[in-house]
Amino acid sequence: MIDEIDAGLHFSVLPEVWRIIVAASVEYSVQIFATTHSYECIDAAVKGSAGNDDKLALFRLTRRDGDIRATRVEHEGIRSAVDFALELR
Amino acid sequence: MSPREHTPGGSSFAMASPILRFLSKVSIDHGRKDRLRIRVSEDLALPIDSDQSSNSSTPIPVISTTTLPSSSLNLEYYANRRSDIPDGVSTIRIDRDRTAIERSSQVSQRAFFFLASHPGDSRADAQRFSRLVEARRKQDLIEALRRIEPRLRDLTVLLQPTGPTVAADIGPGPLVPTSYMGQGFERLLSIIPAFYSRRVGQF
Repeated sequence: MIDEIDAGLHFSVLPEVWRIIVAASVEYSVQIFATTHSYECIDAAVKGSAGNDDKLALFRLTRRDGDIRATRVEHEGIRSAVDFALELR
Repeated sequence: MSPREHTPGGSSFAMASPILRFLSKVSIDHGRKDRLRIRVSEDLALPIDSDQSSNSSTPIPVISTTTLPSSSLNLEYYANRRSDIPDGVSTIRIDRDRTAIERSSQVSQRAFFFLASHPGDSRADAQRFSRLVEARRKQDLIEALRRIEPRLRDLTVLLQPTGPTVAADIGPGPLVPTSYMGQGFERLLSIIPAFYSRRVGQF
């Protein structure tokens, strides 16, 4: 689990960082759970996981009626949300 | 005595026993080339005879199971050629006249947590990095990190008064502790070797 995966990184290198992490996770068969509050980081995750579309999913956590609910968004949905500037954070 | 290992296709087997006849039918279709390692269990690790009747110059290994009808074979499945721990383990046991396959223990996996609010542990980083170096995978890490720090030439472990730490060679001048290379660089230096640590089960 990588908390605030974009912490300490300039947004311009985030796609490359995602490419590195995705490639390494595939190489070593490791599952990654990463958290972020950054729109740029979500955009970078889509770009950085290109070619591994089936390996990326986003879970948006929202608080509703006192409970925390998770909504799963697949790679294509993430890309569409980013393209149309929809809120995923 | 450590168990013997054989790889189908790499060696010739004399399919004399029920176990080995069964193994000749084993196939795994994952859409890619997989590796199947057969580990002969301790009680089956009998002397391997050479087939003297063969005309080949290379002896054909023959494993006899006739004296231990209740013995077993352990199959370790590796989805990744570079893996050092199996992704799955099965055990084949001969029970009188039938062959039974039993699912064996699950392969343990480790979880790593990298918290944004927690400072990096240079000693743990140095240990994980050393494992990577030992496995001759250092260059993979350097090439990955060079994509965000093009000046990076090499990484090495220095023994400082505070303990071992990973230092970077970024050109002329002394090596630079990676804690001075920026938080993002330092986090990747922690994260990527941890992937490999998960492989070998070490932290």
